[in-house]
Formats: sequence, structure tokens, C-alpha cells
Amino acid sequence: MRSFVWRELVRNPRRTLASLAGIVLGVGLFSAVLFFVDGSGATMTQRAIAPLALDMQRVLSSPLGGDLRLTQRVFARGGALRRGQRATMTLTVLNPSAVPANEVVVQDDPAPALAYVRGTTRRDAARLRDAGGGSPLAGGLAGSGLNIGTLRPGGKVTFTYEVRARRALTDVAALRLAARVSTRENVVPVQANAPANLSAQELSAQIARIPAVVAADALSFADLPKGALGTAVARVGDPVRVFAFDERYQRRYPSIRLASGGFQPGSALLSAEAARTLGAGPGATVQLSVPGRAAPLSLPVSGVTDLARAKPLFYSRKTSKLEDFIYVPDSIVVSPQIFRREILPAFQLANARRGSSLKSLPVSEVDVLIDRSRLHTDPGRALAQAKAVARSVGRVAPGQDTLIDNISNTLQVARDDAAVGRRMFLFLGLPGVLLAAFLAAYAGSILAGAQRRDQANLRIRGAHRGHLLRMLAYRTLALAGAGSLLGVALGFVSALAILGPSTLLKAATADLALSALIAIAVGMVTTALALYIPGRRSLHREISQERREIRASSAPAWRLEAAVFAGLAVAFVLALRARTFDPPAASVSAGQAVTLPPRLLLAPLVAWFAGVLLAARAAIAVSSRLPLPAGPRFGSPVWGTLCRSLRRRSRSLATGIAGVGLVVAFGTAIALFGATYDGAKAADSTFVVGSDLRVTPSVLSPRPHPPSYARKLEVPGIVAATPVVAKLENSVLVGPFDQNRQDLTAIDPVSYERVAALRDAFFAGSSASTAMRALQANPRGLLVSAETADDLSVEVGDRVKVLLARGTKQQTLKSFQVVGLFDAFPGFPEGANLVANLGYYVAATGLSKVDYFLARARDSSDAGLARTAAALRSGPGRTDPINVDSRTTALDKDQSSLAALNIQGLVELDSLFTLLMSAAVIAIFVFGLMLERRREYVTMRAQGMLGGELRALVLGEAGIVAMCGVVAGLLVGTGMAALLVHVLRGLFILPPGLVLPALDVAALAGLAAAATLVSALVATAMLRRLRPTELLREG
Amino acid sequence: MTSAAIALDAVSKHYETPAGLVRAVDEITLDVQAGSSLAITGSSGCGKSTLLGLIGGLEVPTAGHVTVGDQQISSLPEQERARLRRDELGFVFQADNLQPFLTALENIGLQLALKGSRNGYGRARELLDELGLEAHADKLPDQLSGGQRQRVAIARALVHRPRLILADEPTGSLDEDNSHAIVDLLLTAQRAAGGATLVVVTHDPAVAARLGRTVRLRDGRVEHA
Repeated sequence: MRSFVWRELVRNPRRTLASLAGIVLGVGLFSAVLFFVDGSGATMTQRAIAPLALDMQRVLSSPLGGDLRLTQRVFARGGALRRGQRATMTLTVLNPSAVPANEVVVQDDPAPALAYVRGTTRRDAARLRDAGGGSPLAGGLAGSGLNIGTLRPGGKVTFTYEVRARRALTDVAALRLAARVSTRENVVPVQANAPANLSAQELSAQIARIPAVVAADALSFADLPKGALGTAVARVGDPVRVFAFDERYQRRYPSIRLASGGFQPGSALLSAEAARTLGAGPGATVQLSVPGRAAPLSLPVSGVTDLARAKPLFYSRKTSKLEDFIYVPDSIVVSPQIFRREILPAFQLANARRGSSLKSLPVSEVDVLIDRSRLHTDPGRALAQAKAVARSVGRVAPGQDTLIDNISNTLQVARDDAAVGRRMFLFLGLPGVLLAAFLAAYAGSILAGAQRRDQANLRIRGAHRGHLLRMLAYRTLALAGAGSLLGVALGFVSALAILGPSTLLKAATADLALSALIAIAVGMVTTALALYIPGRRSLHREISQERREIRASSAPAWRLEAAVFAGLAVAFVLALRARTFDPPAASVSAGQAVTLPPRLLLAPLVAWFAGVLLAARAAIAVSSRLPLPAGPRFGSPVWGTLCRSLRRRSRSLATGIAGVGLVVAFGTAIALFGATYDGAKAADSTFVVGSDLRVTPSVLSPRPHPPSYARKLEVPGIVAATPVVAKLENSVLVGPFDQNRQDLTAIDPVSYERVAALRDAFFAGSSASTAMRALQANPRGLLVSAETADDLSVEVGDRVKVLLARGTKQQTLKSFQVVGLFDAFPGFPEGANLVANLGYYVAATGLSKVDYFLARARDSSDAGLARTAAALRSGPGRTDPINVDSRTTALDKDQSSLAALNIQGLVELDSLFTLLMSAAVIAIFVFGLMLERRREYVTMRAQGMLGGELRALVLGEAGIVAMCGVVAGLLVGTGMAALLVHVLRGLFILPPGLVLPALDVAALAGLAAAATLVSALVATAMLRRLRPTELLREG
Repeated sequence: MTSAAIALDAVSKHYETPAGLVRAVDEITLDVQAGSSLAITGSSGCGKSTLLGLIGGLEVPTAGHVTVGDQQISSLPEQERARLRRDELGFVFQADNLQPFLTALENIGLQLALKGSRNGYGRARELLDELGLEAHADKLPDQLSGGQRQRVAIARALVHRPRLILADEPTGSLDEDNSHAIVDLLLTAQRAAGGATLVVVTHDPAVAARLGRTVRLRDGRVEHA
């Protein structure tokens, strides 16, 4: 029986190929997407951590060192206590440093197993009075401990008290002793019996020995007040930051660039800005005033460094503001030895002085780079690895610092994004399986009809129903198995072609093998069912399919369907109104992963099927009401026959329309989604940059960059440039009831409107041009972010005061009038709070230095931007160093890592398969038509129908199916894409607008038309080769 | 037409099959007079239907010439042969081969439309009346009995008044009463058409006996008594 089935498959190659085509393509698409997910996931770890500057930071909680040491012991004879037996507790506080410790507070509560014996506490043998009826070291109900005042350098204080065991204790050494000590200088309590604090250098040496750690380098810095840095003739007028790191650290982080000179023992590097202000370079000597130090520190300058892009140095160390990059232009870099020997002791001294109030203390940390090449390609597994390394790092001298695990935090987001990505990709691949099942069922139902005659012959020869069912099972298994295997092979080759071997083969072999197995299993099960069920049904069929299908469906059934569709439509509208399909609110700007519940991805799938079925149903309704040629005549042979065939066989027509519609809808949705996704990514990037290009004068540039410098940037390829002043917390907004520090941006409204990526939607209740006109018309006008306006109860029209150029010599308080509110402002995704007129800002502050310039390019394509950026560098940038960021090069940390996925690759993959499947479905429809109706056509030939008329008949029917399918597919696909884009809008900063890629959609429609034409021509050519006398004799 | 409505001159039709060369029709030479009736008989697979297909221009001979009326159809292109079929020939098959999506009237009307008739269904309705099928004119084939369907098929073959009526086992799937009625119908139609030529392939001696002349085939050749 198996050999019979095999021969049947081999001897009917067209039938076999028709059945296989759909399965191969559908499973091919599904498996290609699975492989694509593997390949993309394999690069997601690297992509996620690429922008990360510091993997881990151990920030010392007591950077000044000199912490008190607290030892605590309990003495009991034999090391054990009976219930009720007494023991003596001893606490010793020691100040090992060279400076006094002020406001020393000792706090201790006896362990739960011990009860304090009243009146037994002594300090250095002197009895202490109990507090609140309990131990004076407990500090009463508030548990505030005992303040013992100042402890001089080298000083020691001993406390003893008696305790009684509440229960029998076999080993008092095992008791958890919890005494703590803190000081004014170091408010973080030090635990009793804690190991001695390590310095950053000692800590880094120990961490560097952990196998997965590539580097652990000490970094210290301290902020100094204005005027702290100077030479004999000049001083820096702004706050100064002093860094301590060595040459190895500089090499590790290439964003720290050496402009001239280099590291020298005992010398310092100056930032380019400080060097320019002081007019000092290598060979000069600078003086650094440090709090607590009587005389300034004199340091020879051995080099100049550009720190403007050294993000690791300037990210905030405050846990609530870790993402903030606060640049301090005037900086000096000293060696860790100088910092430890000269600067830290000075700070210690200043901090220990009674009444001192240092605004900021030095920060000491160990920056850890882990071996990223060892991280698993999958972000989830990489996260587990990173956390394991973090635990190892945290175990080194614990309790004296805070571990900031940047890499785990990043990988956690990447892991969640990867999960969402998988779901999204699966959604884009799942239709492959469904289409495979549909095509297999479609081909199966057509072929089942053709096989009825063979089955009848077999029955005559004695085959019973069981034999036929077994043969059907063998045939199904052979087709589904071969189709799934070939599909997986095709899928792998396609994914390889799209992703490239270097990406796809990065995925673990086990993952690829698992994907292949899943694809084979899912493909086999779905397509086998799709083939088997129509085959089994055809075995039971007594009356020919064509006769059955001609019978009109009963009115009640149609009414029921209409009612179901109407119900679904109402439910869909209600769900939309209830925002059921809205993604959960999450902000990628806040570093949160996008959450995407599966139900949201299911919605477009349901819309896909329901929409196409509705369209097919509509086609049945329309075609069954098709007007026949008027009057008592047949009409022309072709039109008369075609009309009647369409009208009376609308179900087979609808199946074809559904097939084409499903494929075209999927293709359209994918094309629209891909174009929208790319458009949204580009819009986000442009928004982050501010325009096509952002030009930032290099700190190494010796020249001033006033607003008028914008004109020098208008090289060929640039439409216009506009100057921008923007800094974090550079102003204070004083509202009627409250005031707060704000990020103010000053712009030239006229040129800014021409250049920047402004949208009307950014301005609440207004438009971009209205807002810019208001700012231009009223130089004292102020645009305020809606959030800030809400916080400070400010409204449009209010008069407010703003402290401009905060923290500089030129800071000045000026009056403004609020002329508009905005929700977002290009170039400042982290939030510009205030926007002012640049002309007025310059006049009010006397500051003419601009932070950067935005430029609009004539050609905004990626290649065009690259060309224009090159023109800027070789033009004005040749003599005056500038940094040029473009939409394509800007590091966009505000975008979800999902937005960085190779969605275009997936779209190409889907589009390729969609094109093939649309051709296949039309070919299957046309050849199925031929198979089903060949006797009809041959009879017409015998009646004298000409070849051209027959061709027109076949082409007409196939053309109507293709046309209706394409139209239905375009409509449903557009709706599906809109739903999908709506669901995925959380991935982007700006709400994406649906983009119609006319060429792609036209290509899809054109291919469907071409496939129809070619199939019809080939089919009618095949008709001529049939042997009519044999066919016409068949009963 | 000349006196010989059909002339076959050493006509052969051979097929290449995986099992070897099949000589379905082998050098048959035959003349059929205009207005006469001919039965072609023979055992199954002797080439009767193939011969009818050659006469009707549905097949092209491997060798020899087929002339219908004054046209050598074996050398005509398919387009011309189709025109000949729609104008001059009427086919009746063992299976009715009615178009399942057309009513009885429309099945007949299609033949008229193919001939370019502008008189609507006029003659089609007349024929249905004559065949007692007026009440079934608007029924689809699957709503008719086997005999009714075959009568509709005959009406379709006759509606355009063909000069040559070719019937391939027209009674093969019918009972005796229906068979008799169908042969009556064909002979009546032949006479009514003013001397149309009737060629019937049959294995039924009773049917053959009612026709003017009988030719018996064996292995693709005419068997001479």
C-alpha cells in the first residue's frame, strides 16, 4: 500500500507539487522566522550592552576613609549559657585615622536571646545611667543610640554591660551581634566586627582577580568650588572637577582623549576648556585649592585632555539619577597617588572640622569591566551570567560600598525586550504556518476531488474504506513530512541569506536545532490535519462537489453569518473604544522594557482572518447577485458563461479570494508595518538629534562659536543651520507659588522652525509655527513644558521669573511671559523644560557661546546625510574641530533595544515568502480550476469554443479571484498594519504614523496579476494537450 | 457538402505510451454518404471513440486525411476545426457532459451563442418542448434524471442544425426504454435536419441495427466480414 502511494505521488508530479508548494512555503516562512529570531537574539546581548560605558561600579560609601572600628564580644564561661545565666558584653570603638571623628553615635540592642541587665552599662569603667528603662546604647524607644561626641585621632572608648540568657545557648560565639557606629563625617553606620575598609586601589586589585573580570580600575573625583584652579596669572571662574585615574584607565575608556602631552608621574592633565581658560599647556604649572589644605597644591601640567565625550566620568553617581550626564568643562586629572596622598587627607581634615559644611565629598569607586565575550548570546542567559559576576564582585570586602550593576540592569531590559521581540517575530511568522495549513487544505480539497475517480477504481478492485483511509494517512504523512523538511531547509537558507552567516551562525546550535524541530513538528501537525481532513471528507462524498456547491446556501445560514459578523464588528468597535488594544503605558525613555501582552498581538491575527473571511463572504454575496445578460438569450459565449459560473459557483470563487486575500493581506501588513517601523525609527532618531544633523564645536577648538557661526555651517548640502544653547539645570524657574531648577534651551525661533524636526503635536493646543512666532514676537516670551507648568502651577500668559545661566558668573534673574506650552521638544528627549529666545538670552547674560548647531540637510537619506556630514568636516571642520552627529550615527539610548532590531530583514523575509505564496496560491487556484473543470472546458471545445475564448474564460475567473483577493488583501492588510502599529507604538518616542510603501504594495499587486496571467496561459496551453475523446467518455 | 459527407483516407492515430506504441486507429479508409446513418461497433478499446474524435476534429490523425464535407479537417488548424464544430457538427456523449452551472435551457443556449445566433433561446425552447422538457428548462443538470439529461444533451447537439451528428455511446448509461427513445430522437432529428449525417458509436447491436450501415472495428482497423 505504501509503494502504491509512493508511485501515485511520483506519477502525478503536478498534483504532488501543488500539495507540496504551499507546505514548503508556509513552513519555510515559519521556520525562517524562528531562525531569524535565533540569529537576532544572538546579537541582542551585544547590541544591548554596546552603548554601555561601565559594566559595574563599586562606589565606596566612605570615600574619605578613616572610619571608626567597632569590635563587639560576649564573654561567657565555657562559651555556653544556661537559661538565666549572665554574660558580659564588651564594645570597643577605635578611631584609627589622623583626624578626629565627630558626633560619634554607638547603637546596640542585645540579641533577642539575651536580655539587658539594668544598670550594668559602663564606659571605660565609669557607670552610665540607663535610658528609658533600658540600655543607654539602645537609645530608648527611638533606637537612636548613644552620642559620645568627638573621638580624637587614635582614641578608644570601651563599653561593657551585662546580659542574661533568655534561653539556654550552647555557643555564644554564634550569636548575631549587631552594634553599629556612625559619625557626622560618615553617616553610613559601620557594623561591629566589620573588616577594615579597603581603599579603592586595594578593592580594585582584589576584584581584578575574579576570573570573569577583565579590568577593575579605581576612579576618584571631587568637585571643587569656583576659582579652585588657576595659574600665577589666571583662574578658572567656574566649578572644577578633579579626577584621579591612571594611564591604564584612560586607555580602557577611549572616550577620554589626549589632545596633547601625556601622563607623567606627579603631574596633571588639564581639560581642554581649563587649559584654554588658563592659557596653560604641557610644561606649565597650576595651583589647585583643596578644602582643608592651607596652601594650594602645585602641579606641573603634562598634557591636555578632551573629556567632552567621556560619559563614564560624568554620569551621575546618585542612584536616582544614574542616567544623567552632567558635564563639568573645567577639569583636572591627577594620579591616584596624588589624590590619595594630597587631596583625600585635605578633605578629611576639612570634613572633620567642627562646623564645616562641605557641599560635596569626594567619590571613590572601582569601575569594573567584565569579559563581554563570555556572555551568552541570549540576553536572558547573559543576565544570569552577569548577575553571577556581580555577586562575586559584591563578595569582595562587602559592606563598605554600593554596587551599581549597569550591565545586569541593561541585560534585564534587553531580556524583556528579547521576549517581546520573540513574540513579535512569532506573530510575523505564525501566519506562515496558518497559510501553509490553508494552502495545504486548499490544494488538498482540490486534489481530493481529482482523486475520487482513482478511489472509485480502487474500491472496484476490492479496497475497502480502511484501505483508503490508510492510504490517505500515508499520503498525508509523506506530503506533510517532505514539505516540512523542505520548508525548514528553505527557511534556513532564506534566514541565512537575509541575516548573513556571521549573524545567524552566532546562534547556539542547540537553539537552531530546536527551532528546526519546532518548525517541522508544527508544520507537520498543521499541514497533515489540513490535508487529511478534506481527504477523509472526500471519501464520504457521494455527490460531486461542483453540484453541491451550486446549491444556494439557505437564507437562515446567511442571516446567522451576518449576525455573527455584525456581532464581531460591534465587539471590535467596543474593544477599540475601551482601549483594549492599547499597549501598557511604559516609557522607553525611562529605560523600561516594552511590555507586549500576547493578546495584543493576537488582535491583528484575528483581524487578519476575520477580515479576509468577511471579504470572501462579501464576494459570495456580490457574485451571487451578479446580473446575467439581459433578455431571453445566453449572451456572448465568454461573458454569458463566466457570469453564470461566478454567480452559481461563488463558493469556490470565495475560497480562491480568501487564499489570495490572506496572502496579500499579510504581505500588505508586513510592507506597511516595515515602512512604518523604519519611518518611526528615523523620526525618533531625528527627534533625538533635533534635526538631520547636530554640529557640536569640539572643546579643542580655540575659537568662539557665537550664534552667527551657524552661517559658516551652511555648506553645499545644508539647507539651513540654527544655533542652540542647552544645558542641564542651567536655570531656575520662579513661578507664582514655587520655584525649581530647570533645563533651559535658547533658540532662534525663525531659523529653528526651518531646521528642527518640529511637529504641531508637540505643542499642546497650538502649533509649531504659532509657538515659534510667539517666541519671535516676544523676546521675553517663554515656552514651558506642560509637565513643568503643571508642577509649578504656571499657565500661558503668566509672568514668571527665570534665573538664566545658573551657576555662572553671568547668572541673572529676568522676567518672562509664558507664551506657550509644549509636550516634547526635538533634540532634547530627556526633557527641555524651558525654551527661550536666544537673542534675548545673549543680551541678558552676555554669553554668546552656543552649545551646538542643528542643520537641515538637502538630502535626508542615509547616504545624503553621510555626504553632508563629510562636507561639514572637510569644510568648516577642517580648521575648527567639530563633532557631527546625524540621525544614523546618534547614539539613541532612549529607544528600546527592540527598535534597533533588524526588522527590515524580517520584513524582507516575510515579503519574499509572501510574493512566492501569492504566486503559489493563484497557481494552485488556476490549476485546481483546470483539474476540476477540465471536462467542462473540453466539452466546450467539442462544442466549438475557440482557444482564445477558453483562455478568456479561465483568465476571467482567475483574474476576478486575483483582483478581489488583492483588493480584500490590501484593505485587510492596511487595517491589520494599523492595529499592529498601534499595538507597538510603545517602542517609539514619537507616536508612529502609518506609512504606505506604494512601490512594495504595487509590486505585490503586480505579482498577483502576473501570476494570474501566467497561470491562466499555462493552464490553457495544458488544456490543449489533453486527450478530449478520453475525457469526454468519462462518466 | 459533396455526396460523401465524411471521407477517411488511410487514417491512423497512434499514441506513445510507457508500455509502447498504441495503434488506436490503424489505416482506416472509409466513406460516409451525406444524409446517411452509420453505426461504428466493436469491442472495448478497438478505437471507436478515437475514430469519432478524428471525424469530429477533436483529434488530429498521425497519418492519413479526414475530410468532412469539402474540408480536409485533418490539415486545418485548431481554430478552424473549432469553427467547423460550432457550425456543422453536433456531439452527443455517453456521459451527458452538460455544464453543471448552466440550466437545461442555458446548456442548449450556449451552443446557439457559440454559433453567433441572435435569436435568443427561441429554437432551444422549441427543442425542449419537443423533447417534453419544457417544465425543466430552468433546472440545473443535477436536478434532472439521467434520461432527461441525455435528452438535453441531444437537444444541445441538434439546436444549431448541424450537418453531421456524432454520438459516442449515447445510450450507454441508459435503460432499454430510454435507449430506444434516444435512438428514435437521433433518427428523427437526422431526418428533420434535412438529411444530416449521423454517426453513432455503439456496442449495442440493437442500436446498430436501427442505423443504415454498420462498420465493425477490431484493433483499430475495419473488420471485413
